[in-house]
Amino acid sequence: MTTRFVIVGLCSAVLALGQAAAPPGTSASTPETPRDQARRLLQQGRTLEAEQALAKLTASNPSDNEAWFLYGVLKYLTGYHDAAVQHFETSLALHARNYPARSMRAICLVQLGRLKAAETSIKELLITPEGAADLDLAIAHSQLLYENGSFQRAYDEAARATRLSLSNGMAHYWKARALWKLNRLQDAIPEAKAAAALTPQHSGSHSLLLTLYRAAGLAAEAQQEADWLRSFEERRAKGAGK
Amino acid sequence: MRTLLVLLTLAATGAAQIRFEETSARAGLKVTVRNGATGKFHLVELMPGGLAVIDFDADGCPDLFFTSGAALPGLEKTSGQENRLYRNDCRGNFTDVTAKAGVGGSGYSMAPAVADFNNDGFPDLFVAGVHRNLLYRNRGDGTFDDITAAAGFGGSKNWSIAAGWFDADNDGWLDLFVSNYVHWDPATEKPCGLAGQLFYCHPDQYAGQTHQLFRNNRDGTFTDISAASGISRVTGKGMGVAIADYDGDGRMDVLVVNDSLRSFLFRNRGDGKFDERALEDGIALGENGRPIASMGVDFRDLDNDGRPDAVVTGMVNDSFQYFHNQGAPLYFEDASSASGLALATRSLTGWGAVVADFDNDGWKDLFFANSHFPRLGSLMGLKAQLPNRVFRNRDGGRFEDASAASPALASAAFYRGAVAADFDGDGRVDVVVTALGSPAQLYRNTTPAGHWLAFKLTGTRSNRDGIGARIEVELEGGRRLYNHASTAGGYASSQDPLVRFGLGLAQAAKAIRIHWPSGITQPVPITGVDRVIRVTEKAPLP
Repeated sequence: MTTRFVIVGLCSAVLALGQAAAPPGTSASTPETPRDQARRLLQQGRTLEAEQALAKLTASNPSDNEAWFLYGVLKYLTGYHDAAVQHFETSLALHARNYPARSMRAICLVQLGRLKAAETSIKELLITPEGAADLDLAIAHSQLLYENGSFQRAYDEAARATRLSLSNGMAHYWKARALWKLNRLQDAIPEAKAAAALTPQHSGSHSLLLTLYRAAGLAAEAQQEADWLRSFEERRAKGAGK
Repeated sequence: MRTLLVLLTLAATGAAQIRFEETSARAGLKVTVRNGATGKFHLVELMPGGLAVIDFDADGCPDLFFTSGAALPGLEKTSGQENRLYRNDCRGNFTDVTAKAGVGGSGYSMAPAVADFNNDGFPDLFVAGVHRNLLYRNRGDGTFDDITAAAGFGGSKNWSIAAGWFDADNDGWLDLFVSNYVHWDPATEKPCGLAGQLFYCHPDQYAGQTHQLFRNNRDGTFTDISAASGISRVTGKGMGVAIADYDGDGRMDVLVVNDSLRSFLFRNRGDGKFDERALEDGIALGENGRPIASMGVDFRDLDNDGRPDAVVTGMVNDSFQYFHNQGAPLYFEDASSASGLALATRSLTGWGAVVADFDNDGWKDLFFANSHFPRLGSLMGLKAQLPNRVFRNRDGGRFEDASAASPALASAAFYRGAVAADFDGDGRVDVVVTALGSPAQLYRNTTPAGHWLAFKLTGTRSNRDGIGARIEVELEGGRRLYNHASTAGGYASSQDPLVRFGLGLAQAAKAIRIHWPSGITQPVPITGVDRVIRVTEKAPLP
């Protein structure tokens, strides 16, 4: 039983995009609307309260595409990707050209393993200017290609993501995973190290490094990563509540 | 006639479709797991439903034991919440013998673990539970003695959720591993969710517990050696336990999966101590490095390379995991994606996990008992009750969902534990699954399956059940099949001690060898197929 944040750092970017897509008449200087309140709760990680606010908002105004979008973001961030897709699709039914909703829907489809639908959506998005510059979409596309077993293309897309943002740990992470599958162990290690350095609390990067070091026969380095993960998990096990 | 059908099916398709039909009512199984839910969302409500295969009367036919919960918050059983023992008439018909056997139990029970701990020829019964564990000694006359306190298991403060018997020190006496979950107290449990929208708390809200190892003192008592053995050095949130010798050193190792934490692999050093090596040996985390909400686990050789692999169930979006054992020095690799299992199970929440060869083709298949959490549907946009699934092992490395051929599997419920055994004696492995608040299901295997062999072991130098014995069957053409004796596996459940092999079209084995925990390797005379072979451990002649 778990809820989780799937892609580190995505929340703020998504919410900013969502705000950009808001209909005219909303501005930072106006008093906090119920929708603004829901967005703030989301940004603060108060997901249960955000759930309540968004359920109320969408029930009271089912034609509020922005509220449905935020509801989709909430479901995405709490790991309920099926519900997220449903909410993004409701948002898109109301505002078909809402790029953030299209992008987030595609990303959720990747997470759900609905790869054919995800591929169709991502291909449509990548030919748009927003899509070509969308870092999160590039990372999701890399993951999609990886899960399809297209490791060279997954690497190419992750490399493109690192060109969009050299400081994004997840881009390096997927680059490293693709390189590992391409039997380029020595190239994968520095990418995984970059991922771990840029997102130090992302256990996946440390786990990948552990795998790579084990494969490379670098026992001391592997043990260091194992110790990091052991300590990280032990803290989580003993902690009685977040 | 059936053999002819099997041969025709296998010859025509190269493989048979796995098929089950649901027969619980016809077979007399009337068991519903009661979790004591009162609408207050106590975490324990989610977890009960363990069951066991136990041939308690030693007639050679697998009987069944079911656990049940208790009233909340008191953790005492009321009418209808007793654990149940069902006797099998050897044709797959069951009679409730709980009262006579004296195993209705007390407290909030979770998980049985079955083995003959006192080497008297009759399987005994440990029942893990919430703040109360039970140990029953089988008297051999259809009744059991509750020896919990005398054996040293009284006064538990743990929430024990699974247990497994194995001979940790290969002294011929079975020891007991207990998987513990979190510190939880109904009196102090805080509500989670929002007013008017209560929900179960995430396990992150509770501190984890350490696991336990009890050494068999050979006199009906046990000593807690968790600290001395190194087992309690790590804190987890334990769920399923499965036991196998993953490094081929002749000593059984323990794999524990944890809820939303990495898994633990306790490597048996052979000097009374265990090293926790899941990270170093590649089985702690899946390929993406993220711990999953693991529930069930089984630990058997899925590709017939002589090394046990592992299968782990998890929560929706986790994907179930298949760890392939490559042997030293790297041991495990996460092969979930390559095997097809990851994508096929991403939308499932799985509890029971069973590895067994359902079509007797020589490749062990997978069965999963599933359900999301009650009320989770509104959060997820999904139905919380789920159907069960069976996956056919195509060639030792790829699994395909074979559930569609069995309409009986499509019935959705809050399924939990699962065990597999040949209950009707037809040579095909059947499955029993429990469910919260609805009847347990008995899936009778009707697959036009291949030939088979099963081994009923009697240890002499080794423990009487032969738990830990590894069996190798060589077929004409050089194909080798492997399996081992263990009752530990699944979710909160105890599996059949019989060691089974599907042989496909082979009408005979070319050679059979048993590697006993004592170190003895014993060849077994070839006596044909489609039978249970009883083997008593014998030292080789000097």
